[in-house]
Amino acid sequence: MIWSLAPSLVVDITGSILAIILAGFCFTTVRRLLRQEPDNALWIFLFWFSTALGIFALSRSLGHIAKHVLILTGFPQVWKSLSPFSGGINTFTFILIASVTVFFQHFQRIYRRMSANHAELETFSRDILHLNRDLETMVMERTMAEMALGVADGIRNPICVIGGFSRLLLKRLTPDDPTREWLTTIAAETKRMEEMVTKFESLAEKREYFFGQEDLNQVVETTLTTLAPEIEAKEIQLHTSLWPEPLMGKINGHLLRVALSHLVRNAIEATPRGGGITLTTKRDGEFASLKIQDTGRGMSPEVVEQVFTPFYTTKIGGSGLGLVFVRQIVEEHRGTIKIESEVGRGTRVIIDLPQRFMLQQRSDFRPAQ
Amino acid sequence: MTFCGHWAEEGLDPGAIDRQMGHLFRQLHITDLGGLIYYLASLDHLILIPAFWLFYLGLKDFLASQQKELAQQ
Repeated sequence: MIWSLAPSLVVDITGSILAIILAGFCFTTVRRLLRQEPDNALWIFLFWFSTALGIFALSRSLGHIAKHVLILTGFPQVWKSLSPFSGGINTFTFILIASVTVFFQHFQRIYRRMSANHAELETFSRDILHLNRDLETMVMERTMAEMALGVADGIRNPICVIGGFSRLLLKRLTPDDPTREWLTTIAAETKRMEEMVTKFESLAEKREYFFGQEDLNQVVETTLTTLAPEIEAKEIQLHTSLWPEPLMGKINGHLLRVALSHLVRNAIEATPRGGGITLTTKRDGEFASLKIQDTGRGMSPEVVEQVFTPFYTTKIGGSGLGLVFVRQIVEEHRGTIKIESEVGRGTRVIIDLPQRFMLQQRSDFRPAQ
Repeated sequence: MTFCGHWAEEGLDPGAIDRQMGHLFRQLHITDLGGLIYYLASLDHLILIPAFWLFYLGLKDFLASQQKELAQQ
């Protein structure tokens, strides 16, 4: 087969000129993009990519044009001596393009990881804010309830005595007695005060809205579902032994889930790869008991003593408030939390929550200390 | 493609290109696969220029959407 190389020559020269023009257009466009948003990672990449591409297009195209011009003008030897340099520059610019691409690919991976971490931090921050707001509401409601009950308890008896005697006196007075009008006023005002006391007492009952009838077993199950990826990632053996019947109680499921998540996360962090975590729930008399046990590194008695001290932490970057919040949540449920630990053998956290509490009967109401 | 073209050019028989009618009207005697590869690779601008053009269109599109976003702000 004999094929003419004239089409190849035309395509080569026209293509080289067009490549230089298009490289210029690309560079100008991307520079405008970057000028508008200098911090945009994609524009930065495209700028360096277009620059490298421009150098490549310029070097290659000029090389090709120079080759044809030199051969046509009778200087093929000059081209022969120049061609290795031209090829070298082309190869160098080609490597430059590849390097820019690879560099930015790595850069993008790091950027994505940072974005994911940032999103995770934002979620944690939102959770903490939510938790804080809930705790503040609970404390405020408790203060209101305590105040209302204090006032009500203090004045209920004297008011009842005054009201009772004034009504008794009214019955004994003759209809034309001049003091009757005064006694009627005293009885009416006492009645108003009795109503006010009743209103104060009803303030305390508002606390009930914050707690609902929920199953502790369900709280444990939903929390573990959320934490399953973290447990699997560390290849930890999770054992659960939940009480066969629902452990119903007046609880705030959201807060208990936060507390439980924190405790299980602590257990995951402390447990080595392949270790075990056991969660047990059971009914123990009037209490619903929850036990979290891990086979982690454990803590010394000195550390255990301090774990509920605000801002005390053994973790790098820890706030030292996690367990403080956990205890606060448990105490808001009228419950108790106990930590037992042994260095090298693991830690056991036991939470006991009363199943009947919180104003189901007035006598049950004892503000948490 | 360019690399293959240059590789094929290196292995080309010195007599494969007929230069009797001058540089503009050279002719290629294709006797093997290397010759065919050299010929096709010498037309690589037919791929390079459309690719460059599409890249430029993409950048223009980015610029247009960026300016639209900025105008909306």
